[in-house]
Amino acid sequence: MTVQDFNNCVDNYADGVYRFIVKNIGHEADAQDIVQTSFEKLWVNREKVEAEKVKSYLFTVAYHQMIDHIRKDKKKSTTDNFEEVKQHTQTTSNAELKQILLRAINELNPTQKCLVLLKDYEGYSYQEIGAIMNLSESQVKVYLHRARLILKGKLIHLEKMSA
Amino acid sequence: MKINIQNYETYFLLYIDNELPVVEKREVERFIKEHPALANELNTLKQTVLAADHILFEEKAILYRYQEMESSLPVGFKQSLYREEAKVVEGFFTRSKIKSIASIAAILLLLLGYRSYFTVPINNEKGISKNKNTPIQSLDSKRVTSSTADNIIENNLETKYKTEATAPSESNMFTSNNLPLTEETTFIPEETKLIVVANLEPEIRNSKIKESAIISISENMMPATIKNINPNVTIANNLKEIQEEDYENINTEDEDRGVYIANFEIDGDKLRGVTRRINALFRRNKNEKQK
Repeated sequence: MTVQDFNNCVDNYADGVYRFIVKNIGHEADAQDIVQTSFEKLWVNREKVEAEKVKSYLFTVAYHQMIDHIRKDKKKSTTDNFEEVKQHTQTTSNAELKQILLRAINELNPTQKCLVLLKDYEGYSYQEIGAIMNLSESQVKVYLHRARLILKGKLIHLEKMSA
Repeated sequence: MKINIQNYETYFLLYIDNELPVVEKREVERFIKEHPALANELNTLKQTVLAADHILFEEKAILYRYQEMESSLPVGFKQSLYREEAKVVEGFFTRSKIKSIASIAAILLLLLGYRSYFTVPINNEKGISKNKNTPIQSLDSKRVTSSTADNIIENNLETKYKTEATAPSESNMFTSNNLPLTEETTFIPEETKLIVVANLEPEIRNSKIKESAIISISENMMPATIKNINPNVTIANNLKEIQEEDYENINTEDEDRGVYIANFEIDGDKLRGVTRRINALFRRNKNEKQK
């Protein structure tokens, strides 16, 4: 990997990695640190990482960094996460529905949350998500489906509450 | 396995996760058309999918790498570039003090130079010490071996009685060269008299050597003071040569003249030029101060 290739990776993947992390931990500065660490590791191992696996490598590193960060910083509440995440939410016509969904996602457990984010934001397949999160494809499928049903139930409940 | 009323939920979840092949996707869409009551459930599941969010990482600049960073410097090169903070010595060596020290040093150099110019024999190399045939060596010359000491004593005695014409009568009987000299010989004085010339000051040489040319030194110094004395040449002859040899006046017309300071030879003309410049400098400073 040349310097130019590396910088192209920054252009192509930094936003995605950052979005994935900041949506999970809900803290911008910590998310930036994790992104920076991920790219540092990519730079160090640039000769070992294959070009077509760079993205998954970055997400894998970022995911494990994030897990470490969550373990170290258990004081953060989901409410705080929501407040942080709310700052990044783009205003749309379905803003209210989106807020409900984000709140519901923040109430998922970290694995389910990661699964949803990787699936919806990055469009990874079950297999790719399994590679990043060190899970089997079937595990990803089961956990993600379970998360979807939880979200569905919460959406229905919150819609009823708001109505 | 096809989609049916029992497994439709799994197909719906796979559908919204985009994990179904195109053919099965069309089957799901066909199933919804066949079961419109389940369409709402599919729509609710679709709502659980997060829409694209335009969150950007604004600090990409800190992630970029540059070409020059790829070429790593050799190990140790960086260390050679490091600089240590210079230790500033304050107080003593001020500019004025350095000037004063330099002035004092220049004056001392001048005094030393003039002194050497007028006190050193005109030709240090042509003088006594240069004469390799001179039997008398300087006190700091190499020490003689004990084997030659006896010969030296014998020659000294011989020369002594040759030069002292008015010697006592009992010493005249030893003028013979055949006289045996042993340690028991009563004619060897307690303090063997040797002639020491080379390292003496010129004044001493001019005065004392001309009068007696004999300096008594202790007996234990004797072997160390004399070396390579030619036994065929008498000290009397040496005395004569020394007496005849006098200091010459400095020939200022000599192109080779120089000033000796310790072991260093300084060209007299250059020294004079330097002294003139220093004098001019002092004069100028003095005039400026007076103004």
